[in-house]
Amino acid sequence: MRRIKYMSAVLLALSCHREPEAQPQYSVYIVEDMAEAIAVYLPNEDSLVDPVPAGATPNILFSDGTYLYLVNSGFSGTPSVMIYRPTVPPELVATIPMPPGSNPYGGAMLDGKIYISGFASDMLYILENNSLVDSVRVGKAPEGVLAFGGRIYVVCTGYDLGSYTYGPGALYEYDPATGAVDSVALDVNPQFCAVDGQGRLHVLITGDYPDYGGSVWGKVVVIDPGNLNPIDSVLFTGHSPGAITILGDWGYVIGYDGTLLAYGIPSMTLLDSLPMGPGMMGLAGEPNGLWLTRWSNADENWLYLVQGLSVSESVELGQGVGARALLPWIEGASSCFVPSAAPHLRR
Amino acid sequence: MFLIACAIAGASPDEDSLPVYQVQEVIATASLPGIRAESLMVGTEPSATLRQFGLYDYGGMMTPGLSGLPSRHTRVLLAGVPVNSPASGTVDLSLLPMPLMGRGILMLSGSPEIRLWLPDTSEARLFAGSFGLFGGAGFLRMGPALWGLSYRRADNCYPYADEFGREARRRNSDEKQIGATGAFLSGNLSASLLASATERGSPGPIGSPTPSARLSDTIALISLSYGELCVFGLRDAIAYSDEVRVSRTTAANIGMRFSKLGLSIELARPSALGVVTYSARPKVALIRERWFCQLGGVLWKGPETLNAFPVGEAGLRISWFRAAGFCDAVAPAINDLAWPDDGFAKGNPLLRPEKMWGGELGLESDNLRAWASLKLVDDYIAWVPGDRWSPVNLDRVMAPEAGFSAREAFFEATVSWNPVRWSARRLAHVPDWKAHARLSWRNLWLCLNYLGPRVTTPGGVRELQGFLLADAGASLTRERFGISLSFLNLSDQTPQQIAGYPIPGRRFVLEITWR
Repeated sequence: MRRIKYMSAVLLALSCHREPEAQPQYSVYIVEDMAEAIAVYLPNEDSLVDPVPAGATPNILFSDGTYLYLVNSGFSGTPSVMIYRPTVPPELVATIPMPPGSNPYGGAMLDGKIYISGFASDMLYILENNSLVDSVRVGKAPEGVLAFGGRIYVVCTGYDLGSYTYGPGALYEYDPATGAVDSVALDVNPQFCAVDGQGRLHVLITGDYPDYGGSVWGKVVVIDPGNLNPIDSVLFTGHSPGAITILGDWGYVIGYDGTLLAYGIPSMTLLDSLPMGPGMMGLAGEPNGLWLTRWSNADENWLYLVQGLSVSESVELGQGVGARALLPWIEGASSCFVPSAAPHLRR
Repeated sequence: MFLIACAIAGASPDEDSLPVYQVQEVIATASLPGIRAESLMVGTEPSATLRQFGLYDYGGMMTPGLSGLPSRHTRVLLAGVPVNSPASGTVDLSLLPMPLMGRGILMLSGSPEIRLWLPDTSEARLFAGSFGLFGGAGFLRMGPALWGLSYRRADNCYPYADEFGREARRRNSDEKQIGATGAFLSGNLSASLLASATERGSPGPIGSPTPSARLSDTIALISLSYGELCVFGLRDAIAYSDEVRVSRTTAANIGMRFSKLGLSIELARPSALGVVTYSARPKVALIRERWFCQLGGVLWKGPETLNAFPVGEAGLRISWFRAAGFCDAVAPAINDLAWPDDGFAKGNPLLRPEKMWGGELGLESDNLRAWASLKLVDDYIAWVPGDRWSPVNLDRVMAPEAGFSAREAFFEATVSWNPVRWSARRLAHVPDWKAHARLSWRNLWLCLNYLGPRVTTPGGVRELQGFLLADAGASLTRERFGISLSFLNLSDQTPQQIAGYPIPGRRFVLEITWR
């Protein structure tokens, strides 16, 4: 009898082994504009999840730390903003139609309101409770939107949709509390901006592609959000970058020409580069490194992880899917734009 | 653009089904053993009759896409003369004066083809309908000549509901078109002339409307035949304007065709955008009661390359069984090759011609028909977005099709499964499933068309839902006088057959004919 008791105790102890701790979800959401879909890559499992349908002509994905917000420009249908739960695969929660012809481009979330730029309407749209509630006129052809310090910053490219030409751009600042709008003029074709550790805005100015007959190369201009005055800049001669991210004291930009450029923020000088090859489109940073996409409308598309300015991971995304913007997601992260990684998730 | 020589010496024309006024070529194709063909009544609303076979219907444009292939793969011949645009390679049927077309034949096996003819007797037609539709056409036969004139206008400002159920109304969709034709036949000599001028709005997709964009298009076509020799010319002038720009493109195609004793050759010289291409297509044909065989080649000279391909077609029919096979090549259109970089789109001079081949098996009785076919397109050309919209050669596209149709005195139905795939992915706007049914009783008819779900981009995930359209009508004929009333899209749906382009809702067309 005693032996049975001992055996039972041993079996009980064996059966009550500790459940492995559930790991926080670590995923990279990828907007595929050709496939009109969102794909998900799970780095810890090295697996690609079947894509889910996006809206008409999806463009940019952003997050407030709780939901994913997909901006659909709507060229092949009706423009919209789709809200997803950041599950694997993402679960559609709501779809908010946008005005026809507005060509919504980028967006940000602040205090429960969604702010969306209207590339073709020169407007900043304000959405609340899953509907469009207000709009504010900003500069010509706005693209990037950033929420920072209780304000909304809208990067206006100056692109002329009638003549397909680039003009001087501007950075607009909108104060939701007062409704005040301020702006500062910038060089040709600014597209996006990011915030550094000192709370300064890094506005990426792509230029007008001298490789294709333009005259202005790309650069980053640092702007003081307090007074919108330019403080510093770094020039990328020979390049026309179209995406920017900041990690610590480093700023990274890349364009379709395919060279990842790294500049030091304290010195605002170009310090390093990594040729990736043409077709590079999306760029997002998180403490593990930089995630990038290579876009193609007919050939293979790629997702890359760059660590220490070398490619540490390459993932085939599919032929002709059009891998565009991307958003790394780490469950429980608090930041709206770049969820911070828990140390144990670093690879 | 390629021109297919179908002149087949020794072929016997089907006198009952073809009009007098056609360029002397082909004829026999419709009765070639082993080939699947359908007769087509074009009428005032070609979308109603063509949809069951494949139609890309968007923004006032109507381009035929048979067997799930794009419209540039469908050659359209009017009175024997190819009318595909030398610039785009396609035919927008809405730019042709359709009221002037009498009847047509669709060639569905092998390379898809639509053959249209003018009426062969005097007649007058008046029609009117919803959304401001009004027009008429008249033909007058005077000895060896036939003259025709047509006019059509519509405002097309129809209401629609978008994906979110929001209701709006199409703007800038109006159209006006005038057409004229003349044909002459005397002995070995024949000539035909057709001209049309269309002025219309270009509304754009509902997500990015273009309320001030206008399009005007002028087509002139002439052909002269003597015996086995035919020369023809086509000129297509297109002007597009919006708030800030005006662009004009003039495209032309000059060609000739000669056939004798089973040998034929067709030459063509399409030009547009300052670019000229050349093609030559010699062929030898052998036709017997139960089988036929055509073999030849095509020589195509683009702006930078010279290509040669073998082409051929063969068919066999034994009792209720038939089989056919083909290989062909489709050259890039001039727009594909040389569209100037306008900041939005750009041509690709490095495009390769598409190579096509395939085959079809069929079982046919008087009332039942079943078929299975496979068409393969290598180096398939597709315009895709990017830094600029530009055309690329995709890998192989496979277009299998299986279908079944049944006909009785008052009923006919067709179901087809046509899963066109590129690297196992679906192509944009091509439904896997199509179905059509028609019920007729005395002077009444009811027609149902179903189009299955379609993805919005090549290899895409987003789907447009399938939809069922119901049309009904009645007609009455008393000697020379006829009247017909059609109600189209009875359920008043406005689905987007092509993403961003809702089709018109419920509408009617009243037509009065005197012959």
